Amino acid sequence: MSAIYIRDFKSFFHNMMGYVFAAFFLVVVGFYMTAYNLVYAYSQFEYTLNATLFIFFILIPILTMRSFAEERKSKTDQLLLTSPVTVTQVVLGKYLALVSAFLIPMVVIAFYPLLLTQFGDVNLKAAYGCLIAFILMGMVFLALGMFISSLTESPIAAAFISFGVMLVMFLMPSIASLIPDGGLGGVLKSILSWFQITSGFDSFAGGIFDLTSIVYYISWIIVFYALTVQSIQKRRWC
Amino acid sequence: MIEIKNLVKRYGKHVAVDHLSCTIEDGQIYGFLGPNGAGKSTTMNIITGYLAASEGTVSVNGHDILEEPEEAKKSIGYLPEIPPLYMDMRVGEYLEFAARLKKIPKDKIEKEIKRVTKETSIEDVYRSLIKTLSKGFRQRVGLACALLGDPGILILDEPTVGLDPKQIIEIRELIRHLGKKHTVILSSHILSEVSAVCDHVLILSHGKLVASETTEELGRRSDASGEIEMTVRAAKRHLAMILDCMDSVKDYRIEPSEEADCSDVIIDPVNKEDIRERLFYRMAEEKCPILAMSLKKSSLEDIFLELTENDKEEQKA
Repeated sequence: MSAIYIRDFKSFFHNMMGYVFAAFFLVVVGFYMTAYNLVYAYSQFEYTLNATLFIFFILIPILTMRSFAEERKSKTDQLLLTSPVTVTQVVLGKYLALVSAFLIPMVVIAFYPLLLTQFGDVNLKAAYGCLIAFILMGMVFLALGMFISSLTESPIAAAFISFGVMLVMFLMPSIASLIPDGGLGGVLKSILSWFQITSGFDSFAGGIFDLTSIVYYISWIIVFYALTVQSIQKRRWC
Repeated sequence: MIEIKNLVKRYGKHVAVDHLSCTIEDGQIYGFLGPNGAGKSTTMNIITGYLAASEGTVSVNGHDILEEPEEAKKSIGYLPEIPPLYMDMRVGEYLEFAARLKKIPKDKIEKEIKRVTKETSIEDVYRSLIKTLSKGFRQRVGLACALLGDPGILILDEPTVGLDPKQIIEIRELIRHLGKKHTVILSSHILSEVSAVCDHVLILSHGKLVASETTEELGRRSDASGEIEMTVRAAKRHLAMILDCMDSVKDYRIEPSEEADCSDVIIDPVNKEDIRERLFYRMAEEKCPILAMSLKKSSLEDIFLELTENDKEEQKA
């Protein structure tokens, strides 16, 4: 497992994807932080994070698209799956590599609230609580992107499908609000609310540490992880 | 030892492998032979655990590939049709990755890599990026990867496809050398290759095993036709008249020869008897000089076609 983790992590920085991802992430977060925290002088870093959620569905597909699709395209999955490692371990190694590449810009971002303390009082607990939720949400999207990558042979297709699915998840609250209440509409609405990944973030943005949302995110990570394992296993049977 | 029992692999309605059973004994070189699409790669992918069979079982050294995949996979080194190489890695990096993946103890990795690079003579490209390597070297790196951990069984899927003649000879030499220490299964659609390298040939056609023979048996089969080929300086009519009168000739076929004023004839003697001397004296009497005469050997290709065509006819019937 560690062999796959190290190889995948290194490969992000062999082919520039890792650098591009980190650079864009930092540019966008830096831009919003300049606007909210420096120009308008809000002391809440949560506002910045809340405003930058949209970069997930632009940047995460770039990171995850190659994960399994590229292996399948270049037939290197034959090496992984004929080696004495289980599919669970292969998927875990790959997922942890994705998470590590994602955490690099996060480590840089983690210094921003500290920077703000130079200029006045900052509620650090709220800021870091929010950052934790931000990272967990990112990890949900990484798991989702990895799962979609495992379904196809083409990294480009994986990127576009991930982008589409994540976009729908972002728009889910607006989509749900279009459905009338009561009867079948109410049932549909509550089903759709399961997929409102971003609305779990609202309380964090308001400075509240919401444990149910944390559990909700971790559940999604486990679901997509398990789905990825299943999709790789299933491929052998057909 | 590999035991394959009643292996079936279906892709939708298409049956790629059809109730295949065979046993691969230790210490021999086996060749899977068959036309494209005969199910060679699919069978190999099932043995190595990359694909799962629809029916039937494969056990490697007593470990079932589905029930104890890790144990079974440890004793197999696999070189797929397209070597599974990461183009953005260097050869050394790649082999180290593969060695760790195969759970070779850390302190032995360096020694193992040295051994396999020497065995496949890729020391010179150790630091090169894999994408800059030629097809032949990529094949070698793939083979080196399969050799890591010194597995008892090597499975090589069309190891010589796409190589130039010199590389083909080198890889064959290497396989023959490896066959001394390992059980080797290779696949090919080139008969001469299989008969040159392998001890045992398994012929597949439409997912079925149509023949399982040692290379010698296959060779003997090619001598068995008993037909005689002859080039005679005589007109076709004259020659036909002579042969009609000979009791020991069951059947013959006369074709115009490339040589001037000559006829080529293929004679099928009664009871496959060797009647070359009788033919010689008879032709001499008739003053028809024999320019060439030989026992006809059916080429391996003929036998191969015969075996695989038979199967097709059976299917139709």
